[in-house]
Amino acid sequence: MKNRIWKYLGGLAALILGAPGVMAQSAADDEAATIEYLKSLDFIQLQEVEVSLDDVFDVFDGLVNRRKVKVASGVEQSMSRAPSVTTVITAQDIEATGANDLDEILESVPGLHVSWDNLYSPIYSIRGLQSLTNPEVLLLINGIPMRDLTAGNRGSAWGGMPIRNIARIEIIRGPGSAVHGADAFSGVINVLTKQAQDIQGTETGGRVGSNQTYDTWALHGGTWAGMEVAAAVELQDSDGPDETITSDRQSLIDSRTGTSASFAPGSVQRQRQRVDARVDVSRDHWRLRAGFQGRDKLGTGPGAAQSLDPGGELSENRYNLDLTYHNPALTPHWEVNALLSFQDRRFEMDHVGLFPPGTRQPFPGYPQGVVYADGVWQDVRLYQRYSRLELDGLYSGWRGHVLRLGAGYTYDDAYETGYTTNRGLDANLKPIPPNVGGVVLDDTPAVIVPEELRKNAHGFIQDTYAFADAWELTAGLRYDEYSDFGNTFNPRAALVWQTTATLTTKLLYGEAFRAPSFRELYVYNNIYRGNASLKPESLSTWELAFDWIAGTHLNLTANVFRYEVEDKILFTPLAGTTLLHAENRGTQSGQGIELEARWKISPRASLLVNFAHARNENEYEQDVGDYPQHSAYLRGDWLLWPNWYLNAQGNWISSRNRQPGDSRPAMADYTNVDLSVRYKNIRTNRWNFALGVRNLFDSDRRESISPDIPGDLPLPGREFFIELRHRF
Amino acid sequence: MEIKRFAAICLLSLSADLFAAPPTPNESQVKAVYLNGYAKFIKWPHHAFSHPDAPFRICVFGENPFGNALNLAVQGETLSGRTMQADYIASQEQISLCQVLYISDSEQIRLEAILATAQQYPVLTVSDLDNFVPKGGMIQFYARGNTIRFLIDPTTLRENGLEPNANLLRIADVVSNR
Repeated sequence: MKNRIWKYLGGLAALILGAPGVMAQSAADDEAATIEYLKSLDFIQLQEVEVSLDDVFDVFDGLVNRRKVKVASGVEQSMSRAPSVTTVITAQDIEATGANDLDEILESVPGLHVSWDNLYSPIYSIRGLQSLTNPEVLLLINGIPMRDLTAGNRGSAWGGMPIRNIARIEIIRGPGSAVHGADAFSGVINVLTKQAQDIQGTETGGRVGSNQTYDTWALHGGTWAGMEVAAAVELQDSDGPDETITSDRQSLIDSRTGTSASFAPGSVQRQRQRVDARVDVSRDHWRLRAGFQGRDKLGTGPGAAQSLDPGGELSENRYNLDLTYHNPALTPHWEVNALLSFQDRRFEMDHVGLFPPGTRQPFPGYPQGVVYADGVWQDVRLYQRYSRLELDGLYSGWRGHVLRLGAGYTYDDAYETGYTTNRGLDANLKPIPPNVGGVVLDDTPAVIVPEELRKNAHGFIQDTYAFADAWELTAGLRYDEYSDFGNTFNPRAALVWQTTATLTTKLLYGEAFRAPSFRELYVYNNIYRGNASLKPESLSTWELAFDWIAGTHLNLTANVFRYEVEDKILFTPLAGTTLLHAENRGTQSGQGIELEARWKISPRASLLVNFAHARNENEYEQDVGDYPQHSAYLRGDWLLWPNWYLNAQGNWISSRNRQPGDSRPAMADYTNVDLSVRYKNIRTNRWNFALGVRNLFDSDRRESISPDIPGDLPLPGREFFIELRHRF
Repeated sequence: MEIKRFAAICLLSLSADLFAAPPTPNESQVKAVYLNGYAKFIKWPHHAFSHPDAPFRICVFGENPFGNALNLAVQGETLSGRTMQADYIASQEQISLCQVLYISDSEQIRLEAILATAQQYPVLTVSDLDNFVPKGGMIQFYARGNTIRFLIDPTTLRENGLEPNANLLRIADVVSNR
């Protein structure tokens, strides 16, 4: 199997590397011919020439075209000048690769690997920094954080994000707290949804894929009553991939206690239904956005507590409303922004099994333990509301400087928590007697996470100073004050040098923090104890980056980085007990390199290839494990025939050690290859048809999750899809 | 087996030009041709050139967004006996040698300083930057649908000793800052 993969990969590489020699010359000839043609026109004719507005139509130009980015500093600027190492993914990249979810396209970012937690929510591992709840990466939608107060992740029923309504994704690989505050730690991902001008008309479409996966969507963009209006609805219903878990946590318990309760071997539960609806209305300087993300019948993967649970399901409804005022010229020298946003999330898990019926669990006074005929289960209800006001202004009246000033306030409220379970601690913090059934623990000290508030006030200042020709220095500082865990200052500095007309060099320093989650601060049960005096985790990073336009259609970037993490938040054994207590303990340090080449080989072919290496060690110089030390991504696009495009992408994940103390052999490397063919007439753009295959070689891919699942978390085998879109 | 066949089709399509796709110019190619073409519609004063044989210089300040397109556009071109030449500059001291100055998006932060320097010489300033003309620039590109057009402020040109031809003003979108 492995040989076959390498043979095909070799073939693919030969295909990609062999053709360019022939094609590079033809590309140069084609450009000379195009310029000659344009020069033969007069200005009136030239004004009528239809061009490929690079980001919109031509996938090959789009790949190498210089992109702008705002996420790095809050100011829109060219990527090469931005004071961070960034990646921009456009709607065109998403369409070309046939991605169906945000997580599928993020794997194309150098140094970013998408792994999975035990509910198959994504873990964005950037530069080797990752953990099960993954608060290290800040995911924003239109600049608004998707972080969850309880776990610090994106919500346990996040359920992915569909991609038809995404206009672009801006990514910082590296720290971003000086601009974005908490959790912009190892990276920031800002997803920008489509506005009226990104849609221009109406698009409807549908997609059918393996595992009974059905997607359907409709987008509209236009003007109505003097307003620009965009609306999008995306629906998905899927049985989900059904790979097998051969042994789970209950299997281990069964072997110790002589029971046979485990559902393993059995298939993972990845079914889901989702609805995403967004409206974006703007007029003059004002923009109003409203959105709904509904997740229902979400399977529990290999089980909420790593024991398969075929009956358990999660759901969440997430509503958002935000109002933006943006005036690019309030006065000749002031550009201002104001944002007011609200978000309400209602997460529920109903009778989710932690251990299956018939499990035998230890209990004080019962040396043999107790058999739970109904299994161990829980109902959880977490309702949260997030409110935010952000103000910022750009001042350009001081020659050679762009000053950015701002302040904001957030009010995050875990306003209702409900918890019912049949095992654990009761309202008096005494063990719930065996087999008494579910005990309602709402508003008691034993509730899963208490109803708490988090308020944050912050202010920042940033100056970009062009102190000499070809040199810019960006310095920034942000102060955050939290109601629950204190305050933090996060500075950044970036020196950007336009070394030649085609080469930019950057030296970057940044500090960042991640906020302790409510679970880390307040959890109180028979295993975990929170710690209300936790400090935030902090990180400092140095980076040296190069961006080189190496030829007309070739762009090369390279960067090296080094970081130190302090005050890591870990659950560590509490002396003299079997409890785990949250503490700021330990440090980590990492270093690595990221390389990328984007090449428009000819007017009909382009290639993107990147490679990343990272190494992340704890204070005992042990590899922290789980993340890939080496990864590579390769994407080729070809115009096969007029209006027929072929995309091939390959992703290689390698050198994943186990966490210290886990004696299992290192994770096996894997290579994933996807292919898709698309029909699209970029001029008329009426019908758009695609078919493709994911994981072409059906390779066995796994991600580490916990020693309780010794065979690791399986990822989908080969899957097919067919997709049709129509614009009118 | 199917995969091999599929790969064979891919290889065939890459190595042989099985079809001729109509050339669709991209934005930067059209802009490069505009930059080369403005000279035909604008008169520069004699003192714009350091000596009688000095080339006609089209300069790109900052990051070069044109790839090779501007080089190709000026290749073999002459204007009143002067060779057209593309130069890529990063220093404001070099501005005085240019006749056309394209200010790249990368230079947003020093735009005012560059314009202040350029205003001391008969230099045609062109850019894609938003609000370029209101800030004192002369020609600003913009996209209308899938076409590339430009705004021009003739007053600013004349203040710097450049005389735009009436034909240029007829086809451009004339704006005025005054």
